[in-house]
Amino acid sequence: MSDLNAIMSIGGQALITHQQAISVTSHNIANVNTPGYSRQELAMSTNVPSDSEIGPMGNGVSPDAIERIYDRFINAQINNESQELGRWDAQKNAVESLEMIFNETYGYGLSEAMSEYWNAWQALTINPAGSAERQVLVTRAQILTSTFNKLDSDLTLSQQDLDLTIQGTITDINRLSAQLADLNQKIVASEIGTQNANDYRDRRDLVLKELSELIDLNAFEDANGNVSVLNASGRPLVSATASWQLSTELNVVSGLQDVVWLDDDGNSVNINNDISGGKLKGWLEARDVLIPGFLNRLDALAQTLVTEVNNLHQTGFDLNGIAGEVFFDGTGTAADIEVNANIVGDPGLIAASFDPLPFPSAPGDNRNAVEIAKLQHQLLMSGNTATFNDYYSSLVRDVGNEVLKSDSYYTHQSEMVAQLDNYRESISGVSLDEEMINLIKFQNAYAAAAKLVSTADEMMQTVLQMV
Amino acid sequence: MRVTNNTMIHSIVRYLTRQNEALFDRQNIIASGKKINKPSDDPLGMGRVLDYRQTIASIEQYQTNIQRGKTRLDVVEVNLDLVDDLLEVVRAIAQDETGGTTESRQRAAESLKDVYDQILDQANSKFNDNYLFSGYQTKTAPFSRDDTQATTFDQFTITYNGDAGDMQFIVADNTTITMQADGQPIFHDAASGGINIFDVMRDLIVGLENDDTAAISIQSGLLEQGETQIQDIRSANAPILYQLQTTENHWEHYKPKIEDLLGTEENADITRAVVELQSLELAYQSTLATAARIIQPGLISFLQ
Repeated sequence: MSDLNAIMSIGGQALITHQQAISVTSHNIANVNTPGYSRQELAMSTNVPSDSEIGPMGNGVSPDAIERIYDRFINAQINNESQELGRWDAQKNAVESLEMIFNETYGYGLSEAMSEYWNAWQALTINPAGSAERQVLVTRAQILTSTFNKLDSDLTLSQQDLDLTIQGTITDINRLSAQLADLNQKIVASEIGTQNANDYRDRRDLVLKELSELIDLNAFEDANGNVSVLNASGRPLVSATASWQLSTELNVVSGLQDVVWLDDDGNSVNINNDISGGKLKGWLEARDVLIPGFLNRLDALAQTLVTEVNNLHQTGFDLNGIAGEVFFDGTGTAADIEVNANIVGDPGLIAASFDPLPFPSAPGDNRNAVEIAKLQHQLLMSGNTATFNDYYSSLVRDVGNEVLKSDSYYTHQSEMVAQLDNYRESISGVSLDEEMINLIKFQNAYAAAAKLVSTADEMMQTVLQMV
Repeated sequence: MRVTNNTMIHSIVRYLTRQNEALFDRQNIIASGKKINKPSDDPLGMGRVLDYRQTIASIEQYQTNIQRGKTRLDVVEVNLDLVDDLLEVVRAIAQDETGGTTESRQRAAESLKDVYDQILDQANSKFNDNYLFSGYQTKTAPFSRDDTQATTFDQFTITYNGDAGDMQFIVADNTTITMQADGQPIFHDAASGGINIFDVMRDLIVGLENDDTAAISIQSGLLEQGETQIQDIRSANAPILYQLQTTENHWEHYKPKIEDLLGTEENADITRAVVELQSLELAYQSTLATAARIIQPGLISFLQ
């Protein structure tokens, strides 16, 4: 009797076990497209055998645990590479928008503006007293200065846009940190005992991966199942159930937002220069290193242009025989370079001639205009090794090179992350074909176990009828 | 390696994205006709394109400058040619009148007064609203006849109102050609031992009016030197013209070469781009077809 009961109970346990197996399979199938999901498996094992005269008798199967199939090292690797991926992705996007600003493809950029400006000086040398030539020179000069102004303001605007993006990213980071802390709590709570909080762990891995794309970090799991996250400069973002926030603070020198970390007392610690990976690094690199670099070079170009032209212009004399004023106003930066308003109002003030004494003026003297026109091909930039156009075209070339560089790093990184993803997928991914087969497998076993139960039941009936 | 549905799907998506990007790039090249649509397409090429464009713009300006220079030289030459002819006429008349009568000398003097004025006009000729022979004082007539004190012709003096300025033309990078604009060496050079053509003519006319044979013949001789003076100036302009023409020829040959280089650097070879587009399209379609074959079947469709 007890054997028949044993058979029935083995059957019953088999039914339950395989039903649970199918349940796990159905969970896998449902989550085939869930990002970050690791397939789960029901671990079954035989029950403890009971003793009998003929030796130990098996006692059927029972479910042990639901295991999550994953490789923890792969996840760590993916997180590391995601930091680099995020960084180059962000930097590439930032620099690509910059190269559009240097609109040189169709020839309406600074290069042409400078060329037209110098040609206008040459045209003036042919007829130095001509009012048409003087007016054209003023107009071309104004086009030149406004091109400089626009380049500068477009670059500065990009910096401000990046500011907004950085602030948005900080909000995301804070949200993810809070989620991590919350998941830590849930995982520790559900894993009291020996159970696995599989789905929570999957979610936590996903949050970690998202976070690594945004900022560089070190993550490790402690004995309790909490994941701690440190920013690479050693400051914690998440530790057990506590999370720390990042924020932004206005830097009065640059006028842009610095990234700060808020410690336990609410004091802010400037970590702007400590960030070394993730999208945040990409944005910061573009905003704080690349764009200022380009702006400085533009300013250097404007500065030298203004200085050289003004120097020559002030040694010259205008149509009235009066010494020339400055040709360009402003402090010599690309942002505020402009044509002297007096000259705009009266092109006769353009100083094309040398000292006319003893005559009151020298309308046919084009010597100063010739000297200024010659500035175009003189080596005045880069320690007297480059002309204005050389300097500018190397700036444009460098912008293009930055894009190519970011692009190639990004492509390389995304290939690498894709490879790692594939590897992770091969371990943890759900294959519908496999699950189908498992479904059939467990269903057959379920049918067989049901048959077992009914067989045991029939045997019981037979025995009872014997009485 | 265990390959799951997601592996294949992600892979296909990646390849399709990459191929779409390549197709898009090619399309841009064909539509714009340019190989370089943004600096990152070819940074070194973009740098060269900017250099070539500047060179071409400069050359075009030099060509304009040279053209104006040549025109100015032409106008000067035409003027001096006329002055030369006029002086010859004057000298012919003077020679005739060495043996002339008092009446014919009077008539000659009157007609020579007109010639005098005509030569004065030539010396004061303008080009493009600027006086040719005043040096830098291009808005002031170079030669004026000072008739405030004069009552008779013999009291007329000519004043030179210009300066010794010249005219520079920029014809190449850091290269200028200088043309004389000073009227003094041409018409008025008594200070440096040359002939003051106006004074000579005045003295000739006065001599004719006064029936002074000796004066007539002296001035005739001086006139001949005056003509030589003018001719010397004209031949001094010849090398300048030659220099201008040589430089012009140089630019005419050089500019198309730079334009070629620019075109090679910048312009897309449309034929080649279209062929590349076709092969990319083929690859894209193959990927799509393969994807369709791989993604669709699953065990599910085969289970009863």
